[in-house]
Amino acid sequence: MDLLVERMRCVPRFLALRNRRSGGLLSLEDLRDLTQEVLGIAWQKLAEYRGDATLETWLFAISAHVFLNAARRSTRRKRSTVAGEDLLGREAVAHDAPPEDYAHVHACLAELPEHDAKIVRARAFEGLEFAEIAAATGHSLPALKARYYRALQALRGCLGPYLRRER
Amino acid sequence: MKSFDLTPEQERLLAALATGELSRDDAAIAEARNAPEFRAAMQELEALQVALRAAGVEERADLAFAAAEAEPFAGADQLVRDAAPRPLRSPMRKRKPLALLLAAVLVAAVGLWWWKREEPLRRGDSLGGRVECLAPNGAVPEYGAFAWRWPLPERGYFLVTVFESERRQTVLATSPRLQANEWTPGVALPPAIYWEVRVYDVRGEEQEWGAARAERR
Repeated sequence: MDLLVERMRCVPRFLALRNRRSGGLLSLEDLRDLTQEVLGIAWQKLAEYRGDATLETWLFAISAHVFLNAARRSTRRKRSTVAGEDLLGREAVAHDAPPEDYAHVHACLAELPEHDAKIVRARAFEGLEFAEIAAATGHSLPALKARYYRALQALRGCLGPYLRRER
Repeated sequence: MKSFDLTPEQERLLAALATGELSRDDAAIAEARNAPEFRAAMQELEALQVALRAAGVEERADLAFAAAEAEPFAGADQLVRDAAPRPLRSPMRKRKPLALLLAAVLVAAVGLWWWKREEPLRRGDSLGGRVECLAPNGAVPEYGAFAWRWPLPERGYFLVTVFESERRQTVLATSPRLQANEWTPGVALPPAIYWEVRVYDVRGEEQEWGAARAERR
């Protein structure tokens, strides 16, 4: 238990780093709430953690997902505030810039079936060859490639708006 | 989600591109890029692959950063400790108070039974005491005459009472005043009895007493 708690100390660090990267979108109080939310989810889902990735990587994905949702909520709130200020003729401050990170990629990866996410991560994150991944997963090479492509199509569907914006 | 209306051949080429079987410079791909739909799908695929690689780099950097970074804000590590569930109580520990209560009740019940059972024995000496109850005592084929050993006080008397058990709740037989050291009840008795003999002086004051258990086998 103590070791788990020790390893979960990465959660507030992930969130703080992501917040710094987004230009301090969230307040310190929001960060505290978010830390508690991520840890709550992590403890609740701990039984589902199968050890395919390190615990920190698993926590990183949850943190990224939760942060992205919080950032969206915050952006919406600030947009509506800005709109209200415009009506009063005050100077508006834009807060609708997307976070300058890849939280959305991690969030979409987290929505893939676990095995597919593992294949994509092995290929794209770790740079493994398909032959190496096939050996590790027990797939034939053609089946693995077909599965990888299907996973990319699913990610394309999830990330479409971001991809078109980035082009 | 924007979907691209690709032909099966274009889809096959895109998959080959995604898995590295073909490169964007291959003739088949170069030709397919003339179709705007394929070109758009290919650009989106390439953007996805770039985003995935960048996300991988970001993840590695964040993991390294988190391993080295000091507490990012005051109380962060305390939040982590507070979020940990309290150690689960084992079913045994949950049941412990109940088990203790049951044990206490059991001990009390046994103690009460023993006290009730032993009470006459403590008061009388006939099971090793002063008025020696000779018969019936212990397991006997028939109860026969009740006999005891104790000198009769001058002008005193004995009284014998037969009970169903040491609890002395039901009197089965009572003797008249006796001057002899034996008496035969005139009633049928159950297989197990408890009986007492009391010794009185001339003024009717109890001088001594004894008791015995008997079982007919």
